[in-house]
Amino acid sequence: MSAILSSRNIVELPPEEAADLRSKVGERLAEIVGQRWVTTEPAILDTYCWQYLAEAAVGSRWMFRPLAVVLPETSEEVAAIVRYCNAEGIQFKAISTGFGAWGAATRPDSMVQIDLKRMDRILEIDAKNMYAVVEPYVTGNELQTEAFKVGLNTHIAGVGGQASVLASATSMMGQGLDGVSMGFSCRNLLGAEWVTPEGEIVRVGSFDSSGRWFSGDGPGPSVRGIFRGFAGALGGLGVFTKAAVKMYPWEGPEKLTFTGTSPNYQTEIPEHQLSALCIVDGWDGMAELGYRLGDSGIATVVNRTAPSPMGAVFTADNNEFVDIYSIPFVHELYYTLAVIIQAHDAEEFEYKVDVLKSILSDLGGGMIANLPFRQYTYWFARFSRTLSRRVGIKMILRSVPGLLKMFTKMGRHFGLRRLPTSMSSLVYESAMRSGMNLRGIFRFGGTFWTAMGSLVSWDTAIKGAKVGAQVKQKYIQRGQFFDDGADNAWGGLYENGAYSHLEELACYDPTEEKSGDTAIGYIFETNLASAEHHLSLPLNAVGPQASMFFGPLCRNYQAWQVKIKQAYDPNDASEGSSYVMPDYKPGGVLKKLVMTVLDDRAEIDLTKDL
Amino acid sequence: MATTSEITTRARRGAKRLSRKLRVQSAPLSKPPHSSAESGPSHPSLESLQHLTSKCPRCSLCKFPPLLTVRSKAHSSICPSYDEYGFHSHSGSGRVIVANAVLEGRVGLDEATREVIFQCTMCGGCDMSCKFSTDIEISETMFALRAESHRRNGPLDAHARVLENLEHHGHPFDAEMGSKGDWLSSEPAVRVGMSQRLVLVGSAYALRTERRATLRNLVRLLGAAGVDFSVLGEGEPDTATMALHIGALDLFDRLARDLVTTLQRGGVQEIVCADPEDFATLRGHYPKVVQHDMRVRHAVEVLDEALAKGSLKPRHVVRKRVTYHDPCSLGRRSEEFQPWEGEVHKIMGQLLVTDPPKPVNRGTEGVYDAPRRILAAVPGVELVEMDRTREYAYCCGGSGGVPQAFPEFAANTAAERLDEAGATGAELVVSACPGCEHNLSAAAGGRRIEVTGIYDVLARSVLGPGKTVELAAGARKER
Repeated sequence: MSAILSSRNIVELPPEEAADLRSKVGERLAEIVGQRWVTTEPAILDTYCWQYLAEAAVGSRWMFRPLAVVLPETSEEVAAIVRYCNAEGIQFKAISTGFGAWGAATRPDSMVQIDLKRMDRILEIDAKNMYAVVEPYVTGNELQTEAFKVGLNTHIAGVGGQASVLASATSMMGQGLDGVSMGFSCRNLLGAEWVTPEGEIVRVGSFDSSGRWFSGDGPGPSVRGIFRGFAGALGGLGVFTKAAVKMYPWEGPEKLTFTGTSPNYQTEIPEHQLSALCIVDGWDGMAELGYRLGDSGIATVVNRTAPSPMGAVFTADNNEFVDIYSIPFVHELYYTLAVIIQAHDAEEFEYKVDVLKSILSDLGGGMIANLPFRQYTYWFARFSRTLSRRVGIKMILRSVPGLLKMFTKMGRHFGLRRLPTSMSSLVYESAMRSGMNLRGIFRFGGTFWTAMGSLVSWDTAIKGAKVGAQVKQKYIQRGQFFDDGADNAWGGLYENGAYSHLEELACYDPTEEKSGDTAIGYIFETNLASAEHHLSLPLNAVGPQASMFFGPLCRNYQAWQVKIKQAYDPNDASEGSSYVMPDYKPGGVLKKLVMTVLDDRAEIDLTKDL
Repeated sequence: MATTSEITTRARRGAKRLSRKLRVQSAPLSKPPHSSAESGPSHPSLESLQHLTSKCPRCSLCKFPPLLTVRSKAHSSICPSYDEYGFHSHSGSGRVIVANAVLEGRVGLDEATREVIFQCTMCGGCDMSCKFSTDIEISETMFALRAESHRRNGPLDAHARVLENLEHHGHPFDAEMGSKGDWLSSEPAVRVGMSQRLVLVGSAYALRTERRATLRNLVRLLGAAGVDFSVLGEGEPDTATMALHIGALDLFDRLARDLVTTLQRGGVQEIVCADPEDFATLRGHYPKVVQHDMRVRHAVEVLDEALAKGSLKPRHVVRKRVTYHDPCSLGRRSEEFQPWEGEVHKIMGQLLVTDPPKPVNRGTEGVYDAPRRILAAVPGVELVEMDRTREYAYCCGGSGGVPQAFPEFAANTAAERLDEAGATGAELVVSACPGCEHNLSAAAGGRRIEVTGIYDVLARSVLGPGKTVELAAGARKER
């Protein structure tokens, strides 16, 4: 059962017919890219079926097999593949690093999977004009590594540094931990080379007229709004083969240094940089802290991670996580923000740190940070005091044995000398390089899905976190989601706090029967709650199912999407089941699931705190 | 919402009382650490690993070194197979997915599937990178997948001859390469026969003529250090590493038991491996098959110890800029097998834990420091590191049965590694593995950089030019 399947009339070709079609498609694609870079072998095709969230999309760990997988090397080859698909009446979908069910086939024997792995060059880093031009398979981690060498940094999507820069910038939302200083992927796209759904190569932004990529909005034509809009078309509107993304200043060294071994690397926090875990008391304090950090403009990263994924990031496996999570106060660390500060010189650094201290003093907060020993001790004491004010000194005392055990273990991993700064180092690695994010979400049960996450004001995002947690609690009580204390809101500020997002993560075992239904139920219910509590469009307001619900509430944006899709993709060649399907009608199974959710909704009480 | 005390209580009660039992591990995983030789093989089966393989989120972390360690775009990959073939199937995740597809009967083990399975150097890079975040056993899955392929369909054509050689000659090479004792003719001082400390020279050092000089330097160094040892010469059994990599577990198990029996009967208490492939197999795979209490060390550990004690003194200057290539088999693949008998449980709703905690080999406990200390001890040597070193070193392409079945892949991988070595400005790339030295040398033609063994470099400094066996120029650049 699945939301997508239930909306489609799935027709499977007879086996012989399917084999003939695969063979024909494979031969023609080989003429375009060479035999070596095309496959129709079932074992290889299957590795494109197994996708994150497939259990929710199609009720199985496996999406459908594509007809073929093809690895082009140039934009011209991509265009030729797209034109061939149009001519033959078959669909195509491109992936780069390819992480998610939206990249895979949703019907059998219907689609060519274009894997852009071979297009993996950083074409240019223009340090003077602060932009980079990349091909699809360049990851955030790779671009950041090279950007550091010329004094630049790049936004990395929250999914992690292993994911494609281009895919996030052109086709997804791409929120991340560094949004306060570097925005999010949607906002960083300066231009793109776009193979339209019919196979025309189009260059947009200033590149179209000047040959440079510094502006997405002219003097050449800007069609960013058309091909990606707010949330991206998730591969449903052609293929992107180059992207220019905005870069940001990096005040650190050309290469970061680190000590230790996997999974306990410790990055040396560069000079004039601060990595702090800040704490305040309650959601109101969190709201104030976020706004003041945004207004002050001192931070490179402001990120909120809930206690459970924070515990996962700090530990090597789930058993170790249980040890740490058993320390009574650890799962009470709700009101924390990770803050990274970078400065050009000592004077600027001192100013920025003083501002942070001032904010925390005003709010009665504290921090654990890589400060000189006396300051470290003072602010650590304030951190403990802030926490004990809420949870009580008894809980803090009860935590001591567990803490000692944890410190002993960390001392073994990192060395006693590094113990005071080890937490700051882990926060830094997680926040600055997006290198540890997946530990915090996939390891608990095997997978996760996420809800809420509107781009709104910070206190509205916090309101959304409360709503999301209360919806999720029902599923936790039924044992369907990992019991993370219900609050697993992750997100932060964007563009100096002009807007923000907090999404409510839910972790579960995807191998459990009906786990996909559970996840869809949760998403539907949180989407409903988002609308009812005026929380704006959530992360999951994408795809035809969600658009049916949210469109009428938001000026019928789905009608515009349909028009765009029909205008640019008259043959419906660009597989768009996660974007828009002009003929979409919900199937009976989905309707039944919706009714089940409507009959059994969680009660939301916004006066309740966590 | 769970209260503080509820969560604390739940977690503290421990996995057993709280959980719904997910699955009792199948026999291989619950096999006692040292099962008796009579009880049969106990390599993990595909089925026993499915609770781990089904957790692959396809995140692609297995394609890169741990992200914090990446130093350049040019050297940001960890997977030679994915670099060569490009399809997701050829990454660690891809092979885990293929394992799931085979288990669920979605695909058979036809020729194309078997190529996917065997177009891999088994270097363990994906396994190490994945385990930065998870506990998915990619390497174990790949061994199990190869074993399943072999069980159903036998070896690839290119591997069949290797197995025949193992069966008939006691080593994986063709008979015309000579005898494993031939190299001893120029080393009359070396004792041949059983002793408490046996140097297992390995088939690659003993039979590849261009690598014998390196082997002879090793035994001369051990002699100079006053190490009491013997070798077996022609009668030295093979560890059957190639059978393991090809998936021929029946043969591997039999030869493993034979080797242990032979050595134990000979009174051997310590095995010193010259070839790290033997070292990795003895430490990482023999314990699954056969019980023994012999100490297993690699020769670089013995030499490192001798340097520390002062029984070896590097005197002669070797003025070279050197980079060290970590052999996968001396590094991340050499970790000791850690048996585990237990259960997977779900607590706190959907949190997967193991009871008792399952140890995880993450590739970090390999032999990384000893070879670097050896090189640092040689006067004149300037040691420079490549971008990918230690547990996240890039493979040379010379392992996993790849050179035999997919020589172009092996050569391309070696070229990639030599490019990386060349980028350091080094004149010499030094390794401690005959397979790496062979494969890298074969790709070094036309390059400024030369390939040599760590024993050769140390011998030049300790023994001096007159007593060091110099590699033929062709052995440094074989093409």
